[in-house]
Amino acid sequence: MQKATRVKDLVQVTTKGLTKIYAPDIVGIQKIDLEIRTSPFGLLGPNGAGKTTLMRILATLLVPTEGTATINGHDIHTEQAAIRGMLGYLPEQFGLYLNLTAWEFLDYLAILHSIRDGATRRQRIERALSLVHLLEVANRKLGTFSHGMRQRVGIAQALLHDPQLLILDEPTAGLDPEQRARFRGLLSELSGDRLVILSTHIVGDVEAICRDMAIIHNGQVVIHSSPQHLIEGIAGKVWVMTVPETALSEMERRYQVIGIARQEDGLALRLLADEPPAGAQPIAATLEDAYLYYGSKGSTGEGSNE
Amino acid sequence: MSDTRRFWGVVWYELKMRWRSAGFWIVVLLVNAFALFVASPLNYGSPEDRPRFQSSWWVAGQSFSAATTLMNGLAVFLIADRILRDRTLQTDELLHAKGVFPRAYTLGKWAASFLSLCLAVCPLFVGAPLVQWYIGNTLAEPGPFFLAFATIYLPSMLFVSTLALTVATLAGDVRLFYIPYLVAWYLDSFHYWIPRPPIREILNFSGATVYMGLFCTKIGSLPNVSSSDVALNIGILVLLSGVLLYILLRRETRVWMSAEPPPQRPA
Repeated sequence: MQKATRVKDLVQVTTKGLTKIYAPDIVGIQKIDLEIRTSPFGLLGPNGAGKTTLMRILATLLVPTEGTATINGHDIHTEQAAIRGMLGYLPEQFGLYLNLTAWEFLDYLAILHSIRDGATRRQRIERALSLVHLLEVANRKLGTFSHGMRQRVGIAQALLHDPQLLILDEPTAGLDPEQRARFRGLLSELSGDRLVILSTHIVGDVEAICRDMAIIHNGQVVIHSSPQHLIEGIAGKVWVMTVPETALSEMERRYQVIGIARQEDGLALRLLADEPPAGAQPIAATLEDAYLYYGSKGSTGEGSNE
Repeated sequence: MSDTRRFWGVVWYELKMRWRSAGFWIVVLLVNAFALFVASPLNYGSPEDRPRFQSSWWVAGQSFSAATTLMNGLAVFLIADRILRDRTLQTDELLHAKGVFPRAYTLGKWAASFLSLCLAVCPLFVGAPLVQWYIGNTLAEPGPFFLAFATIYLPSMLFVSTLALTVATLAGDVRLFYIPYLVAWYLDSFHYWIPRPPIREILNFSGATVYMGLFCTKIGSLPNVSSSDVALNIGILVLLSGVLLYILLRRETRVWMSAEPPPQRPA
């Protein structure tokens, strides 16, 4: 894990009662209160939990229905230009102009981002491409890039103006394990001198690089704490036991079964339970266990902030 | 950075993307081949069957006016296509997060589309007069045809365009691009003392330019990016309706079928 950066002189993100309602029966997020000051910060949640809605609101691309959010004191509703000046954003899904080269694409976006001087633009593009290790293929068309390389171009465009705040929405989705490992390294590197907010449903990403995190479920923040604290919070609540296959449905009814592995003598179950099930052995908790534990609390409305 | 600088950035890279597209060059070839085929003397039968135009000035003016007006219409169609593509591929997320101004984005795309179409049909402007010259006996006055083209239409268009671009660039506001056209259009509409026919045909073209330009500018000046895109797309689709929508759907079928609804969606 990377050393956490206490962002004292860099940006701080604060949300108060942030709510987005798309339609009466479609609620994106509701009453989200967050103070984000530690980099890298992970926002973890299942698909459809409201992560992208929150990221897009912070990136000034979506107007909240209620509540406020400030980035370094700038209101996202009234000071969008100031925020965009300090913000680098990588959406979950984005398209590239495939018949432009990586260099041209970044030059285009740099122009749009008001980097006026040609020499400055060249310098920024070169730096951004170096950071994502794409400088040697800068003159190749984007259409020839792999998915991982395109994601890195996405990161490069977000870094063009050296932002103080980097918002990355599902940056590792669709990457293979090797690319994901590289990407994590890159994100750790980038989080050294800026606030990085990472939204993902992949627990491993948060576990590998984040020192502060929140779990979001059904549009609400279930818990906000450090990964280590979350793991400690469920110590003694994770169990393993082997049961015959016929007992599985009964176990699922009684406990939260979070893992099943077939063995010669039956099924090895990984359970979450406040009290030890008969015959179960305790096992060290992981962040994934904590995520599932607090996620289930969130879905039953028992979540809390720490 | 001024809005104008962003506008030129959009124009430059939109043009680049089109020039690199094989489809663009196929369209160029097909359009010009078709036009030259239609204009060929082979299609006119005997000299007696060939149409006799009232004036070579009129021919030059009509061809120029029709081509440029058509280009305006098609340019709007093409920007709709490009904006839809940006939205479908969600490239607009990147652009909007950069703070791209809607009017620079919209007008930049329009200008690039218009220039691309100019490029696409420019052989017509060279080829059509040559063909007309070849069948010169269909013209009452073949000489003034070229004279009109060379001395009135092209220099006038270049002059007005240069003036408009200079004003817009100096002022840092792309909307001013249309002011000279607007003035010319007004004069043409209400003051019939303007020499005709050649000037009038230029001004007809200017009218189309002004109309589309103001439309785009009005849309582009709205503060909300998403709303303006939606309004623009709906307006264009209503305007061009059936045939153009059919072409668009044919081209974009695969992308459209997988397209998400506009950006405001839950995670």
